[in-house]
Amino acid sequence: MNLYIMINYVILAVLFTFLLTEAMSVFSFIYDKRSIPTVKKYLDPIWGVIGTFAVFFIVNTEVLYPSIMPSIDYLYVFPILLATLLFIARNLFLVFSEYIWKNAKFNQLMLVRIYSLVTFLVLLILISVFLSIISGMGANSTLTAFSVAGFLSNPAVPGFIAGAFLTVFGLSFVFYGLQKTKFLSPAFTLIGLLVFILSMRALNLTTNYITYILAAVIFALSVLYYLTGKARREVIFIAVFLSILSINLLNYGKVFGEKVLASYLNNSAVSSAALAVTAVGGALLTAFLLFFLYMYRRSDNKEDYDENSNSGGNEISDKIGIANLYIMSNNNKEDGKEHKTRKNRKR
Amino acid sequence: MTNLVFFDAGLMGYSLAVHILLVTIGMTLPIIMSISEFISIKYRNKMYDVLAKRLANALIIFFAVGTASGIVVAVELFVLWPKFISVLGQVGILPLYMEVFAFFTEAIFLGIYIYFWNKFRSRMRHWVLSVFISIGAVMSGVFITMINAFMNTPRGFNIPYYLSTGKIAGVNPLAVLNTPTTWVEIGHVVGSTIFAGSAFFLAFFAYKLLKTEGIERNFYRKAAQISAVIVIISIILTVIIGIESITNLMVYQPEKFAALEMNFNSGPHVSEVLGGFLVNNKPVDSINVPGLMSFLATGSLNGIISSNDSLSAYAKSTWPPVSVVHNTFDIMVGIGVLIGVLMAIFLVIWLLNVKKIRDRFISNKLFRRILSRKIFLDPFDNPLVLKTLIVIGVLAAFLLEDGWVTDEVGRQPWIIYNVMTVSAAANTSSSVIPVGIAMIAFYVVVLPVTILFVRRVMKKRDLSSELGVGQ
Repeated sequence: MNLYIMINYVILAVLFTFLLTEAMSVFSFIYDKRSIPTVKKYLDPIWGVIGTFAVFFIVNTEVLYPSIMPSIDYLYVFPILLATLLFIARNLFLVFSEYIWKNAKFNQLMLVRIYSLVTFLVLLILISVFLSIISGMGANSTLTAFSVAGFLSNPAVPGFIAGAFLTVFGLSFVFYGLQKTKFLSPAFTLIGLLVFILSMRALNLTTNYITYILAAVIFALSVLYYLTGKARREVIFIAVFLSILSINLLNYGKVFGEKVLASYLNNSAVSSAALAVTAVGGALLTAFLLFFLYMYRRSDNKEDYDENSNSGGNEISDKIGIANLYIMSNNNKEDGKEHKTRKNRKR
Repeated sequence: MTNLVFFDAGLMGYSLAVHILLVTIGMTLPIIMSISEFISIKYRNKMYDVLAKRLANALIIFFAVGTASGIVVAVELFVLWPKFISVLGQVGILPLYMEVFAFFTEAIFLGIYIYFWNKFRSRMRHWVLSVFISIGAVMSGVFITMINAFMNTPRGFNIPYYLSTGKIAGVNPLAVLNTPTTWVEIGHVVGSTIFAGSAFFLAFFAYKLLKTEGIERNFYRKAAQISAVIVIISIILTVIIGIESITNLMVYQPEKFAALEMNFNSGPHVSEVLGGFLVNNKPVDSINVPGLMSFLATGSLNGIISSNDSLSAYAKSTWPPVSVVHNTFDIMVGIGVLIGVLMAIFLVIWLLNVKKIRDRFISNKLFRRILSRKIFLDPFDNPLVLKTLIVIGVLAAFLLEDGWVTDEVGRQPWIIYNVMTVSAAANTSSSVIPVGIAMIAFYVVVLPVTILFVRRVMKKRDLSSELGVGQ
């Protein structure tokens, strides 16, 4: 296996894992409005990082396969630009939902639901483009034009996409601890996984025992949650990451169906230099993300936001993010040591 | 096909024009925020703490749009210019790749800074995050400017071989980090971006100083003071590096320099052409100042301007739109000089009102007479000065866009100078058009909506309760 391609696959897997956890947020927002505080507590600090991973993958691909770019550009210029446009809307509606004031024309619920719709469309486009790139569905033989009709002509294509979303919906219960009709979690996860794997096979994408083991683990997580009401996000995150990575590795080197990815590899000295940058940057990124996780868990353990729920204003937004800073009583002591007070330590 | 190339260029130009405004805010806000928080810790001043928090609020909202806008530009770069990105990927993409990590630094630390603010027991450690955010924001600008410098002065591969065969050979990926224009461009871009951003915020705070009173006014006064210091430092740097960048143009992009100056002459005592238009290869309606160009370039009125620095030395087909870039250049220099003079006057007035200086010289009769004049009132209490600062803020934003247009249009018809033309690099797929138009329309709505939203969010804050006054 080529190291450069492996790195690209890992970045893609991390990106799609983040995106799928965001898809879980989308379903949660739509399905159960009571999930908003829990979901936003996860989503608010991390949405910027998810966007950055998208840029990371794009630029890494540009570095590794510059000669594939003209084909991708001509084939997917419309869906990619559309997804980018919607991505701005995704950011806007999410951040607006955090800061929206009481009695505003658009309330928080409305904004997160618009966000959900927009993000769902972004994910739909990205999964479709990803599927077309690895399977070649919809692309003409000269790789200059993309046909939506051609793409959808194989029923396995909508099956692949629907299977992914059904599984994500099933897992959203587990990831965010949704209680509303949680028996749906294993049911949707199972149906989704079955549809997804059958579609993969119909699309001539390789599956083997690894695929089934990972599918079984994901299903087991949802069953376990249904039975015990407990789950750990990290486990879901890792399971999803490994699943996406396994799809890439089992279909290693395939691009546009018949083409060989390695033939597009950048053979110039830029690749080696980029590898060094990836190593240094990747180490820094890992350290930053671990620090982020440390801070995130620290807040979780201390139940930071609970004390402020009765402070007036919009109950949901009061519990989230920096908006909270303004309604915390005595947040700023005159001596500049406000975070050392007993009350704040408890926070 | 030509229309599609024009559309691609227009879409990219438009997206960048909006993006640089957001970058300006995104690069300056963390600096002001960081300074505010540092002062709040150092001097245990609650007002600066509230200022830092308010700016953090604004930053995260602008970041939401800015980060998405950055993705738009990154995507457009590879979607609209496939052949350019293909060459860049094989030769000079390293800075773009490094920028991703700078971007990560900014995004991750911003998330921690804002959303986990109260989890830090040591305020100093929390403040350190703001330094990382600022570094991440500035470094993003540094790396992307390296790509621009590569486009202006390409290095790192065998260009004659590429021009004759279309194949890339002799690649040195590190050369792109240090082209002859890289560091000067970085200095100019970062300096002018921070200048424009801080001038914009200074204008906003000046407006607030005109409109508020009491504790609120005191609050905005502190914010204005921080912004003013940044404006003054950054404008000095921008001017110094701006002069250096003109010298660089003469050496490394003489054709662009000749177009900016609308110069057809060489030899000694060459006139500076101010304003005017190019008609039938001749400047008309311009003001010619004899010997000034020679003087600016060499320090002597009879200094010799090389024939390379004259448009006559180049085929007309490779000229950029001369009338456009010449006038945008002159406007840039003119407004830059005007702002520089105004800020120098502002600095003098401010210094005269600094307590230590005032106390030291107050016994001097002349000093007292000067201070008794209305214009020499404390600048943050002087409506005339405050109104001037608002005008400067607007001009600074215009200046930034104008300077960027000068740089980019001045490189036309090249996307990589003397290597690849814009038309050769463009994506001529017609499917760009509908989504491109949607993107333009979307941006028209997004930016004002975001600004209005931030304004509304800030308006909803009650300073007294934030400060704990009256509780």
